[in-house]
Amino acid sequence: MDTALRIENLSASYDGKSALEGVSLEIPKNRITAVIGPSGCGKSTFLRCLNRFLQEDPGAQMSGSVELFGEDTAKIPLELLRRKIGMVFQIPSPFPFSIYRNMTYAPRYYGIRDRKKLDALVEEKLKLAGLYDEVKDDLNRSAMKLSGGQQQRLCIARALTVDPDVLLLDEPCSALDVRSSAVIEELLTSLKQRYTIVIVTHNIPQARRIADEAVFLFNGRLTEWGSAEQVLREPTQTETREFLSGVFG
Amino acid sequence: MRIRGLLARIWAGLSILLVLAVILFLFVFIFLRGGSVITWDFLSQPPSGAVLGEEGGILPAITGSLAFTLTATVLGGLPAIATALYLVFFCKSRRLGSLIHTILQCISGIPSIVLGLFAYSFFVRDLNWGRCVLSASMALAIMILPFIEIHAEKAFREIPRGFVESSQALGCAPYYTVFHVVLPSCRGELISGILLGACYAMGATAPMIFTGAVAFATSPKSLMQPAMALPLHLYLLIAQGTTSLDRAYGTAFVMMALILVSNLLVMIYTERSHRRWIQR
Amino acid sequence: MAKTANRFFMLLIGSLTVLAILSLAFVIWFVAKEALPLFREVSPAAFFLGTRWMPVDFGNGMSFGIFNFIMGTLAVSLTGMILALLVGLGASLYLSCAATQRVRTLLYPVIDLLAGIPSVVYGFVGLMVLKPVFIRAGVKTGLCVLAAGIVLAVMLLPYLISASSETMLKARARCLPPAMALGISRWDAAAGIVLPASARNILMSAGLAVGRAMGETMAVMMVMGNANLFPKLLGKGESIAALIALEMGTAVADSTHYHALYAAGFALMILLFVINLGISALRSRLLRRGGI
Repeated sequence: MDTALRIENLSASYDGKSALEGVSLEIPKNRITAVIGPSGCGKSTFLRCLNRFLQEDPGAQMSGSVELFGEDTAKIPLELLRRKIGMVFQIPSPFPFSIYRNMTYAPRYYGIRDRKKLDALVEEKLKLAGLYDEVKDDLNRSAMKLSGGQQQRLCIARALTVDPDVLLLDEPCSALDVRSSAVIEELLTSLKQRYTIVIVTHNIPQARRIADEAVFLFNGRLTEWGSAEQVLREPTQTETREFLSGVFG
Repeated sequence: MRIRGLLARIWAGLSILLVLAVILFLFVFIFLRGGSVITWDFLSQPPSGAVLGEEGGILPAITGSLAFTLTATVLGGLPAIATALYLVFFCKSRRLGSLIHTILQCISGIPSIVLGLFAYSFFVRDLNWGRCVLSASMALAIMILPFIEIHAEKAFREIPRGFVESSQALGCAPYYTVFHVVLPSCRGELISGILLGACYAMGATAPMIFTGAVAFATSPKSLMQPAMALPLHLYLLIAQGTTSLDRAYGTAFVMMALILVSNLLVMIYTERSHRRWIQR
Repeated sequence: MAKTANRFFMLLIGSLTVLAILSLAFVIWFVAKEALPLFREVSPAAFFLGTRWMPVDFGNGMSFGIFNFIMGTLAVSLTGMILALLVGLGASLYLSCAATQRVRTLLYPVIDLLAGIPSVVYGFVGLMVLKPVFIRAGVKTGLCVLAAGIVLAVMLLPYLISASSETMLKARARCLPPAMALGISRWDAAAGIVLPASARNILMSAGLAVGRAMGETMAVMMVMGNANLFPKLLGKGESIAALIALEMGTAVADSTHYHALYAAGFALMILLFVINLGISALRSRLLRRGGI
């Protein structure tokens, strides 16, 4: 099995306060890896380290190495890295423009001007995100008028417009209702054929439903990682067991 | 970064620098030119000279401004704070609340010169108060009313809801809650708002030129007398031409210093209270 | 005892609130009362569209046309607004998209200082600094609409910056992270997403600021030259507020001149009500429809 991301001794801190300590693990290609753990355990920080998004937060520091398909991400130009590793946020955050303009914003930035190419790209990615049929009649509608679940799928489609290899999702369903969450879970499962997916989630049943691999973080340390089957059903560590049985969270 | 981003960056950088430079320039310009005029005599003597104001000081303008500002702040501040209290704690109807907000917005949209017209027609003529501190202060009071109301309402809304609800849950009457929970917990913000409102009234000229200010009047003995005010004094000195110019800079100095000190006080207080909220 | 105190307190709050609200009615009534008699002598068309303002009869008869003053008011306000937007939007972009929280908390109060400076002082500095510059540039007296517009722009900056940077901060919080996750640079996202995303709200704040500019009296009066001319950027002009401030002192009570000044003030006030109410209606409609 190919490794998409190899993380070596990754640490991070905010204003000198440690948030992540010495995390080393591998994230396999074309799998869904769920990152779980109690609030404040460093899940989001971990995710933000992977595409070096942490450096946008004032006062944040990271050390250690992250390799994307064998290449040190610190050596990849930031712009390229961000294209290779897409990211979707907790709160659906479409740009307050039309659906079409949301989808073409990044491709145009990267120099695609050809209207036909753009149209094809929009259609392809919206189809991948399972949104095309719902919005194809009116791509010029404001993205703000979509429902929360549709907005989040638009954000996923938007992240796909730059053809990333890896997709990071930071609790993408926590602002959505159950039905919309189910649609997104289904979508992610179908996307893993083409993309490597890392999802931070609060929702253990969700992780059980969609994850192939699971990573359990506790107090900024990696407690346990491996196949989802093993981590989520037969954890070896006490913290994981207690967390899964609802002792804290 | 694409060309648009680069342009945006340059534009933003130049703009903020220009804004800060203008602010610095305004204060330095007035302070440098006016600084040499400021003496104890300038502050404590009435104007004198062949053309009044060429020599001597600005005492009547200071006392007059004090009279206008204090009267206006009391007259405008009380209804402003009452309205804010009503809107935040007692108004149950959303429609009534938004109606009151709309009315306040309209009041804040009345040009200050029109407030002068109003005060002239109502107080000076119909009520026959004549040109006096009180007439002009009424106009100033209406001018600063929405200003203080906005500050007070913001302060009240920032009080943690739990404070008020706990007091109510203990069965305390509204007046008790207001005086023992609400006002003490936002005293500083309230005083800041009132202070800034007072500065606003102090600097206004338009509402008082035909309602209460009289050129080179002496210090007022009562509210029913006309008086002089700092901004009008400055205006008259400028109108008199070059011989009064250094006194004009001195007068501007006094006003700018008052503004700076008031704002610094407010700034220091907000900084301190900000920390207090974070620690909480 | 507590009950009486409370009843008294509630009564006080209630009546002071009513007083605050009633002040608007009082202002409208007492200005209208002195303004409306004018139209028994001068037709509204002649008043609003006439360009000849001759309040005292020197043998050629009196006339009261405020068209040039209306245009002067509009010209100086719009000039000021455009200049303020040019600088204010850039500064807001910096404050919202580049400055750290610390820098923001430091700069906001400094910029607010501008709002505290008395308008006479603005006029004074305008006279001392801008007038010589414009004289050297070939404007005869140095006093002109553009000079007043520049002074006005500085006065509008604090309102514009605080309103627009607030909107931009919200847009930035929503839009900057996903944009940067797509590899778009901070400044490209600021110019390409944050700015257009805030445009609607900024325009509304600008509308409110134009209203404020139209009511400004002293600073404009001191640098605009005050002549009854159709405003040109480098020519003199006079605003309605300046007209009232300059002539109220000499207008004989209850004369046509006196009523005409009230009518001009009344028209200005109504115009500002329309602007204010229109914008707040627009804003609440957009809010209800779930805009930003």
